[in-house]
Amino acid sequence: MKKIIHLILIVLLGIIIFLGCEKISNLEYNIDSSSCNSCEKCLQVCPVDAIDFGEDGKAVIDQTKCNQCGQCIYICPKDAIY
Amino acid sequence: MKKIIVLFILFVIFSIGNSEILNWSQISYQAFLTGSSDDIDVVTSASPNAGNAVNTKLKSGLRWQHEFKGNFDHFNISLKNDFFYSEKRHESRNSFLFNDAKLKLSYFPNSYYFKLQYGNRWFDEDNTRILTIPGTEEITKQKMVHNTELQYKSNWEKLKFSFYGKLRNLDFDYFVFDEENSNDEFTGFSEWENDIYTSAKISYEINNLFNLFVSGYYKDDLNEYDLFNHTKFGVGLNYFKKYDFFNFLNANFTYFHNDSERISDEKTHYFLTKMRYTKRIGTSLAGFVSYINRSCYDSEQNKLLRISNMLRIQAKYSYRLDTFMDSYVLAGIKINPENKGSLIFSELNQYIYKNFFGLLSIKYADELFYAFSSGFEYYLSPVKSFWIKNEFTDFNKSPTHNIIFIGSTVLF
Repeated sequence: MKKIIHLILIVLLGIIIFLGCEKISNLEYNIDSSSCNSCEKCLQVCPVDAIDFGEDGKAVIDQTKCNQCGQCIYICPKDAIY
Repeated sequence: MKKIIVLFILFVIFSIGNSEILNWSQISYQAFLTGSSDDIDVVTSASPNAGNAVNTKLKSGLRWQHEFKGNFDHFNISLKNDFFYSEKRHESRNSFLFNDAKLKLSYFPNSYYFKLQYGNRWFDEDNTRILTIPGTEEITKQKMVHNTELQYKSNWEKLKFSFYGKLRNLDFDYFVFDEENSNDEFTGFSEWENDIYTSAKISYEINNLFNLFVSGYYKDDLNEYDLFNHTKFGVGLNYFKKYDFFNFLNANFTYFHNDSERISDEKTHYFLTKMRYTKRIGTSLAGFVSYINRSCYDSEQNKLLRISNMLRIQAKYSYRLDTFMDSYVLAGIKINPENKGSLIFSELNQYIYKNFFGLLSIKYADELFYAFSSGFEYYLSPVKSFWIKNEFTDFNKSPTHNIIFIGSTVLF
């Protein structure tokens, strides 16, 4: 029962943030490291050299270089980019 | 010197006695069935405007991946190689002929972990596209990337420390428009770009559920621009509750302070919230719910702004019908409204008859793409297989493609 309460509380917090806050003006893409399988396909399509691999070997988007083209979303076999 | 050699030989003999070696290789041939009109131009000369689209309809590709792994007590060595060539310019790939090699050495006695890794990625000039560096708008073409990485982790009872450092050297050509001659010609120059990445994290275990951590990240663009320098400090709290071996809840909240010319001021105060609940029912059904929220506080406007929300629910049902591996069906949904990345997906791996497996996969992202893939895999033994796959993707913004892959996977 406690697990379900924890889950509901966190999702509710997200909904509050979603409904209550304005959206930022620029898009920002990130990678869900728990879904990433380190296949490096995103690295192969990024047109601005913005994909880096962190200490855990999972892909990370370098926000200083990313131009939000979204190419990596199409290619990711694990749909880990959001 | 002799003593060192003798000691080294003894170490190797002792290690081999406790060793575990794994080799795997996967070779695949790709046949592309799409029309030639959706080929993407690849620059083949010093002029970035020179395209070289090949106009025949049947194109081929080859990929060879190989990995050698050896575990010797607390020492691990891994050598990976990935070779890729494609005659067809079927996706917005940066290169259609490259080789990626990585050598990793790690040493992990009980209280610490040490890793040294070198990676090299080589691109063939005639099969590599031009890239533009944001901010400088330089037209460039990558030739080779060297990555040298060092990682150290240690545990002292309730305290954990980790450090990571990477030196990245990019060898590339850049092209400058010749204004004096004004005859639409670009001149190419060779250049090196060097970046250094460092990060460190210290975490303290408050009790068996909560961890408090502080982290730092520093990236230095060692070249003249300093445009891509980035400093980030973080502080956060992690909650981890393990109900049993398969069922757990992990949640964490981190505040980051960003400092970079390339990151907008509104993202200086950055909040990341993550939650993942994993549940297994019996031996067949497993799934998870994952939620990630990214927000920032704009101090000029005194407003909390949302960057993205991602909710993912996924379940997998496995059923044993064969001696080699489990058949399974997987289904899930991802909701990501800010980046229009919401999608539903499903995957089936079904044992058919005498070592034959059928594969089916469907993905539907309303605003981005629709993808369908199917295939057959035949197992000669649990470690050797041949497969044929077909992948069809209909992108909303890019050309549709249909590819047939024929390949073999061998573990030895």
